Amino acid sequence: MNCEEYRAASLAGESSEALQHHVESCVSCRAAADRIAAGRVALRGEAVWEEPSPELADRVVRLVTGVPTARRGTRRGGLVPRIAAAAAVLTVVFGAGWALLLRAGGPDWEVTLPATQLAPGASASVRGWNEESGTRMVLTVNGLAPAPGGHVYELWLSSGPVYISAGTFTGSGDIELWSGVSRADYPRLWVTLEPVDGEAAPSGQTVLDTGT
Amino acid sequence: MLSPSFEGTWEAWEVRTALDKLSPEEQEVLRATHYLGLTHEETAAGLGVPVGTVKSRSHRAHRHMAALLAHLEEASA
Repeated sequence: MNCEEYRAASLAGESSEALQHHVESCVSCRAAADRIAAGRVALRGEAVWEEPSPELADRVVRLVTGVPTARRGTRRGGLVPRIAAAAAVLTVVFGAGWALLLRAGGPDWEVTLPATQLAPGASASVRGWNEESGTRMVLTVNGLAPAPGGHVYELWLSSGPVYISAGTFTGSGDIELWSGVSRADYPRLWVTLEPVDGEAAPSGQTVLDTGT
Repeated sequence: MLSPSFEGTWEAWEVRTALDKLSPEEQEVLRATHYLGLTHEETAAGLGVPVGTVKSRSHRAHRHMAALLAHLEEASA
């Protein structure tokens, strides 16, 4: 293990005999250990990931200069504009790449799918996010046996006799699925066991169902 | 001597500046695992990618971050 590998693994919070052996034998990495730990702590902090409030921006400036942001307009050059600019940059660093995980914190709707007699002991729920291009759903399934060979489970949305598939999966867990339609238009969600035979229609072997 | 609050704020600033230099994919993984506290498996499910992809992105992201933050270690030495 070299220093680069040690520092990356240490920043990730890993621990192993190899890491311990390296730091015990490396003066440079031993000296850097506290800073790496501080970096790891900072990575867990809201200040690194969220947009700063005006109060935080003010605190940054005040910590450096002792001057509240309300008074900094009288100063030009030097550290204050640099810190003010830095605080401003804090507000624009992170873009659409975070959207998925941010959305994971707050679904637009959530519904339970009780098990049918074909899947005793199973339970499931669906969290949904209404998107411009359709509906993103995270199906959480517990206690559902793995689909037998040549079969998959399939989630459907339907409104009366009209149904549309939202994708297939093979057993319990958290499964992310998409549909091009809105749940407001297709309120029933149900899961069937399907043979992999190219047949597009549901088999009728319903294992989970919100009901109509 | 700098106050602990200053050091913490400054480190957060340095870390955020370093994060900005990572790819969006690397940033996503670090946010998920450090800030949201998700496992690699949970991150993979949230992002819709294989667990192996999350692990490789995580490894790459931490190497980049360690390199980008190396100047802090030198400054404190």
